[in-house]
Amino acid sequence: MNSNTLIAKDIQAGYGQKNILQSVNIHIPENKISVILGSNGSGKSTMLKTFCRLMTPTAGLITLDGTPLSQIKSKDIAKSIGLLPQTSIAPEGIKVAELVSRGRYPHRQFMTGLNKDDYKAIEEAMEAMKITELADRSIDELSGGQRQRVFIALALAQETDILFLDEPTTYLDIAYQIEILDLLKELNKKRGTTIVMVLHDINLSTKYADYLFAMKDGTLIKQGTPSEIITEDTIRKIYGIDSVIIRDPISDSPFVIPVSAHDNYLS
Amino acid sequence: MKNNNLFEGVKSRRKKYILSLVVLWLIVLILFCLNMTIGEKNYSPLQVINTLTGHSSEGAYLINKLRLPRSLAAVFSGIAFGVAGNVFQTLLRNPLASPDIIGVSSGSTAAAVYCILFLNMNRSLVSVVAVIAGVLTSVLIYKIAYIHSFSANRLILVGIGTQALFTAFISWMIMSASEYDVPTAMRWMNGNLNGIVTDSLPLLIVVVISCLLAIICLRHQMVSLPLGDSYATILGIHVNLVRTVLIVLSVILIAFATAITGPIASIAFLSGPIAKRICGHNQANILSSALVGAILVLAGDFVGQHLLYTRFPVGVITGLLGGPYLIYVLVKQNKGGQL
Ligand SMILES: Nc1ncnc2c1ncn2[C@@H]1O[C@H](COP(=O)(O)OP(=O)(O)O)[C@@H](O)[C@H]1O
Ligand SMILES: [Mg+2]
Repeated sequence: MNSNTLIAKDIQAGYGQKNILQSVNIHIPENKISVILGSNGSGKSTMLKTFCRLMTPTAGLITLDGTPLSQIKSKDIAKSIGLLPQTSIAPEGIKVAELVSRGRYPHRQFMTGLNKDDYKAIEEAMEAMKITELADRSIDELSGGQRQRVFIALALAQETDILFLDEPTTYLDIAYQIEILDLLKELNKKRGTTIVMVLHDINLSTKYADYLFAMKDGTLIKQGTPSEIITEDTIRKIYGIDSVIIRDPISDSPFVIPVSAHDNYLS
Repeated sequence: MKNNNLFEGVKSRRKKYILSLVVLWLIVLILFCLNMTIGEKNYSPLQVINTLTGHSSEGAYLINKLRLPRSLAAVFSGIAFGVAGNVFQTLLRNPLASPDIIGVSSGSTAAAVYCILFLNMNRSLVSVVAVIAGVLTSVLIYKIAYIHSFSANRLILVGIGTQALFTAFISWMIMSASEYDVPTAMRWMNGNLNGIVTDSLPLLIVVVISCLLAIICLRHQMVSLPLGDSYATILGIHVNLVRTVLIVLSVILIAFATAITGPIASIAFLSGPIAKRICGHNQANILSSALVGAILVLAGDFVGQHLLYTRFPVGVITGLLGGPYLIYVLVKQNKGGQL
């Protein structure tokens, strides 16, 4: 549990000629839950992809425990950094248990089958996502929410120290959203897994995150604890909307109420 | 504990796969025996074994020099086409993909036909040229598909274009060649097991077994590729390297098999889907598609030689299977509401 200091220095990345990330500096808070906020197209997914070596930065450096990512063996990175991408392909005909077992690839030996550790990790991941009942179903027969939980289980089975999740709750109803965020919180508490996720619900973000990053146009405009950075001003900067901020009566975290044009509300 | 049987399904699917492999293997064995025993003159299996082991000289020429090379060529070319087809379908995430897409077989065939019709080369030299031409064609197509980054769609488009071009070129060569040479060239057009010489077999067998073993070593990587390049990378797989190695191995398989038997139609295209149908989608299906490939070629040759009013090359028989399968896929995809 020591390979989890992930630092990006002045990284730039983009698609073809188009530069998206403009000189981003981030030190991912170790053993904490961080949430990245930002409007659509602000570069959140691009940043996660760059951290997970799906994109190579055109400038700058990302280091894991002080070693540049490019100098670490891919399989070793895969033992430390996991990602739930924003979209996943469900391969035809494959059963849920086998799909989750794909997450064990970085831990597997060259010619052997799944061993005891593998089975344990798969079982824990499937139990955590409450999909043990689906073990023998084909992935392409599942609902969007069920699929999402299967793919999160795949990422959990990888047993990484750092886990990135790009909009993990997007297809889920509120009950599953809370359930999954609770499970991730538990994972963070029990194993100290560093979790970084993109969420669109600000109020769930402030409730679960230890730390928030706000992105706009490929740059990091704010970072800090929810109470530090969630202000009416920040919300306006990120999303361009007016809002009123109160306290969540349960968790005492900031609670954002957006102002609609029909509200006749003058701030 | 309530999850004692969480992995029951996984284990039973694994068992079922191994059982299917055994059954497929038995079918290969039976078809092999049929091809060895039945023909112009029928021999008992015992007689065949006696002749093969040199304890008897009864039918020695027919069994040792004609049927054995023919049946071995059927098995190993079937394995080559079957495995390579399955690898391509996995890589391109498309059930209709086949290595023909990358131009190996059309490149080999065009070169072979050219050598036969215009250069009057002998058979072994033609095979060498065919292998080289097949490999070169696929390298060219792969390079084009890889211009900026790998694109399966570009590969398929360029591949189909190249194939059409070669087919036109082959037709033109046949039209302008002397009638006398055309039958020899035609055997290249639709895979054929006639006149396989024993000399060419050891190389084919060694190449097929080595490539097969190498592909089996990559099975853990292969099963993650259908999740997409992103997932495979996150899991620590060197996607581009694995893909290139798999394509090179398949191209070698196809090139060598084509050089000896010609392009036996539909095997590469059908073996993977049939293997998946029988064994499910949970493993890489390397061995199962190999065995299905061998079965299709052995059975196709048996039908073409013995069951019809006149003898047909194996490629004609297997080619007949391709059409109905395409229609089946189209109907199935239409029902699924996607195309
Ligand atoms: N594959 C791609 N090719 C080209 N441009 C892309 C690609 N993916 C994203 N972009 C562009 O990069 C910018 C940032 O996208 P993204 O990181 O996905 O935003 P977010 O996740 O914050 O919604 C957007 O302007 C988007 O249009
Ligand atoms: Mg995104």
